[in-house]
Amino acid sequence: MKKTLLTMAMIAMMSTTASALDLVVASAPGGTYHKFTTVLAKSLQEQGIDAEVKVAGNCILGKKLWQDSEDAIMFQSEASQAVPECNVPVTADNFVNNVFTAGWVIVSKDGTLGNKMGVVSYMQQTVDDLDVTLVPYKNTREIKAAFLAGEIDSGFVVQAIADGLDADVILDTMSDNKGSFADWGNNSLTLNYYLMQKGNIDANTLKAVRNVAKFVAIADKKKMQPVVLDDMDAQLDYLMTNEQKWAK
Amino acid sequence: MEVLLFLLGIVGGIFAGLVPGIGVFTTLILLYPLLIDLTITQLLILYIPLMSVSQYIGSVPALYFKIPGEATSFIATEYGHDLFWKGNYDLIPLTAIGSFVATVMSAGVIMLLPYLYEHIFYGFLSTNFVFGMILLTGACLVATCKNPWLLTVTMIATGMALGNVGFNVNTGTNFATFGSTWLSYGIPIFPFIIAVYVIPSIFALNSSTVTVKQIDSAYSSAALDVKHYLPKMMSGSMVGMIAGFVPIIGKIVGVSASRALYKHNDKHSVIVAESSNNSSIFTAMIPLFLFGVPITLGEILIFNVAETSYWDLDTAFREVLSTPTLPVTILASGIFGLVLSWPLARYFSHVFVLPTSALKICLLAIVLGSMIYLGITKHMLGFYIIVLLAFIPLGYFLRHRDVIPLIFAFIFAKMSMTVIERIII
Repeated sequence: MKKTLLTMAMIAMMSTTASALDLVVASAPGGTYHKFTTVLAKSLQEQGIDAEVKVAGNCILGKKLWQDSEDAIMFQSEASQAVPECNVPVTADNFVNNVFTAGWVIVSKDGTLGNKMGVVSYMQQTVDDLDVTLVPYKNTREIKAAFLAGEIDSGFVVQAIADGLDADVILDTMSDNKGSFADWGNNSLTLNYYLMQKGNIDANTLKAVRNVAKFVAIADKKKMQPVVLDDMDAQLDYLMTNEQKWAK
Repeated sequence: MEVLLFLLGIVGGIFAGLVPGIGVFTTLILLYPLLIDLTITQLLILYIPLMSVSQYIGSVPALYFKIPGEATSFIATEYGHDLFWKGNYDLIPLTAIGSFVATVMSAGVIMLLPYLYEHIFYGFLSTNFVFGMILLTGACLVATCKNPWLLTVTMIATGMALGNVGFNVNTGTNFATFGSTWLSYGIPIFPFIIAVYVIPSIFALNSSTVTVKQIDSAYSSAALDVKHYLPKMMSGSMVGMIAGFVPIIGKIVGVSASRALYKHNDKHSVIVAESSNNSSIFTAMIPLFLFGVPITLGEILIFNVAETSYWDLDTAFREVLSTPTLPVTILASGIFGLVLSWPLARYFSHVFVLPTSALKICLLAIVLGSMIYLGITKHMLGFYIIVLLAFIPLGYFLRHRDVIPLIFAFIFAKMSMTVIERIII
């Protein structure tokens, strides 16, 4: 019994070792934020920078973890920033860099929106002025499944999903040619994954955070090259304008 | 490298099956930094034995101690433990052999995939199919549960309500969070299950006279009895194959439906449910291989990791499918699982030299230790403890009841609501 309790205490102590820099994942484990943050952690560790990945569970708890941390780095995107309970305002002081920008495309069976369009639940508001019945799904992979099953006529998905479908692309929000959607207000909607900082992080660490080679490789592979503007105000304005399109 | 990853998967599967609360997904999360640099083939060589072996191993503590290694072990704990205690020691080898039969059948289906017309699988991706399977699960739970039907329905309703507590990221709304940041996460499943099921089961545990000799004898007799059980194992495997297409909760649908097939014979229902487990985990991978659509938490994690390294992941999966890698890995995992269950069952019998009170304390320490560890790693130990304490009275109140409907409804609550919302549209 004593041995069991001692082992449990040791495991607990090992799990709570202090780290210089918290890398906060403001979402569930195993998802996109967790993946990108783990890539960042490995890159920092290879450069001898001590950092610990902390997975919050969801964006509300992520915000709390962020607020409770002293020195921290966190991925954010419009998807979670658009939720008031999760919003951590991005400013010139806490913005580090934009890492990925993903465009959205509308895929279709026959070149039209049809009767039903699949959309990710938390972004329904971005497309609710389109003349089609919206069917909510948890993520774009579910939309892909529904499209294959014949459940929907069109889908609002990221480029990577569209690439794997035998379908017409009737709008690409990153393209200059908006086709029949030229008058639609959200036809330039993007999803940006960017990094934020808090606390007293030294310049070398920030430099390492901004220069993760694997992020560049991922952006190239997945057609997610970030929109990076030289002027900080213009960069923040770009992110905020886009964020407002996501807001409910 | 591949052999090492396979062996790591085996060890991970033993860990996931044995330690309460640490399922396949949590084990993958613990290995996450290692996964990031692996190729898709390497990821699958690690993932397949991990999830397969965990199924074989999970049955052993479930039957011995009534402690579920993972969600699908509940049929074995609830309906198999008492039989095992009454001397049906062949349940361990029979469930392992049933799992192996399912593994062989699944390997066959995976091997045939490149030659099948992929459109036949489109129907399994539809919301109507998922909705139908959820309704079927509810009906099976009501039909097979040992409670009065009204209590079962009440348990399902309660499980659905409790499972939906939290912040719904999809709709941006809170349900029953009462302004609590912690409740936005929802009620964490592990302390909930410990409170309503595991602690009452441990307190009800009796001493046993099971010996190594009896276990060895059970394995010998089970080998001779296989012919008798083979059709049941195959029918369970078929049910599991179809249920495996249901996202996230396919295994639960499979074991519920399998149990319903043999509800009048607990021994048969446990063997069939364990067969169903193992086939459903493999057919759940078919949408991933054919369409790049992951439908279980483990697959979503694997897909997410692989996505960073591949330009066209769909093609990469199809290339893996065109080689014998997957069937061979599935079969090898099955052989390891089958072989490992024997020594494990033998060693567990030694545990009963302990006085019953000491055994109960040890089991409680292991379960609570796992919970404390998970609570710390998730930065919510205090919340875990509060949830545990809050639901212990419910566990005490239901200690003589069959709580499977409550637990299963809790697990598939969120998925059910999402599907119902979509069906209404």
